[in-house]
Amino acid sequence: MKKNFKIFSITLLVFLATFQAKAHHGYPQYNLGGEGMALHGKIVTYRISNPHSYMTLIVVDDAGEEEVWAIETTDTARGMRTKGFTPTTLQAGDEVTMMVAPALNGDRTAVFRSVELADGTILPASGQ
Amino acid sequence: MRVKLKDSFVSLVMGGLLLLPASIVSAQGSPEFDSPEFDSRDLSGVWGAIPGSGNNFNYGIGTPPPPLTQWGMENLRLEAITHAAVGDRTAEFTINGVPTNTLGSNYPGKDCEPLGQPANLDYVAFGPMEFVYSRSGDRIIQMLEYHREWRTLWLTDEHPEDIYPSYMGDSIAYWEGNTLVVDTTGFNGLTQLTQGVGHRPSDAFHMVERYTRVSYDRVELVMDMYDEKAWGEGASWSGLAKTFALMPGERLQEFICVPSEFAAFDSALEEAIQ
Repeated sequence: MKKNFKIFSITLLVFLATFQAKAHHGYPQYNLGGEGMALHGKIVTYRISNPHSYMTLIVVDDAGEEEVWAIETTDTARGMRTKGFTPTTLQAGDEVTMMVAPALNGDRTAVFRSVELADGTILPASGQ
Repeated sequence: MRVKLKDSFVSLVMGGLLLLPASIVSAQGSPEFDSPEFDSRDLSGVWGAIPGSGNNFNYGIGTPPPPLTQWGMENLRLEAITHAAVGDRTAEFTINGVPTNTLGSNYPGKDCEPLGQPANLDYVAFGPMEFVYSRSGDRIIQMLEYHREWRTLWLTDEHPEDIYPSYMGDSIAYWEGNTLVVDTTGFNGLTQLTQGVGHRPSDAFHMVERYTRVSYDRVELVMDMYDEKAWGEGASWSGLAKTFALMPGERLQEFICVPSEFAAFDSALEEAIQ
């Protein structure tokens, strides 16, 4: 019974996370006007692409559990380059702190604002 | 005395050198100062949004299109759109009652489909455009970075009789003084008209663009649009203006919208969770 529940939970999580990821290119579900929130974790995926770039990030929650966040940028590939990102700026396993505008409904999806790399570099730089 | 003259000469040269870059900067930033000479009929080069002026994005901010006719409501109206309504970024509905800011609904270029015109001219704010003059002298090519679209502006005064409907339409262009007038018709009606507008154009959609190089580094565009099926006979969406800035040394970048990019994102997410 417990095993079935676990399988069900994982399936549900995958479905919900995938659904959110496919809900690309619409921002009404995000708290864009708020202060934002900080996510500290490890990069899983980082892709500069058009019309928007994206990342996934593993974050350890307060209970010590790993959770995956899907982060979408509002920038095109050109926009990312202008802000100082290259295809190798972030790599899988990199530990970073990201400022994001989270989903209003508490889902683990967010819009990217900035990232602090392990060496202290912040992108995009202030004012960009 | 000789030393003083020499010093003066050196100061003059140094001062000139210092002024040179300043004049170049001012030519790019403020057209009223020391603007390099330019040919008003030469639009070649890469043009984008004016730096620091916002994104110069939507035709319709403050100028909504005419309301749809009954036929338009029945045949062209979209169920819902993402992003903002024309004229008011916080509006919940367009003037035709189409819900805005609806997650997963329509926007120009959704699912990597073509934006076409006039939508793509709104997106020059995110990806610049380039005018390329053909050596044959019979056409100007307008390259649009966003979604890697392009159109041919044929330098003639008549459309062909057998236009095959298309996303970009058939464009002819001619000069009225120093203004390049581009007349486009023959659209296939498969696109969202543009950002924030909750309907498609009909096959009667017709647009007229007027490009004027007002200074070395600025091109002004004024657009008039007509669609007697969508908006009724005599109705127009007129006077829509944009200003583009010359981007010296800029190159168009590769912008290809790839559906599998999103699939890869989904897969990566699923793998990460599992």
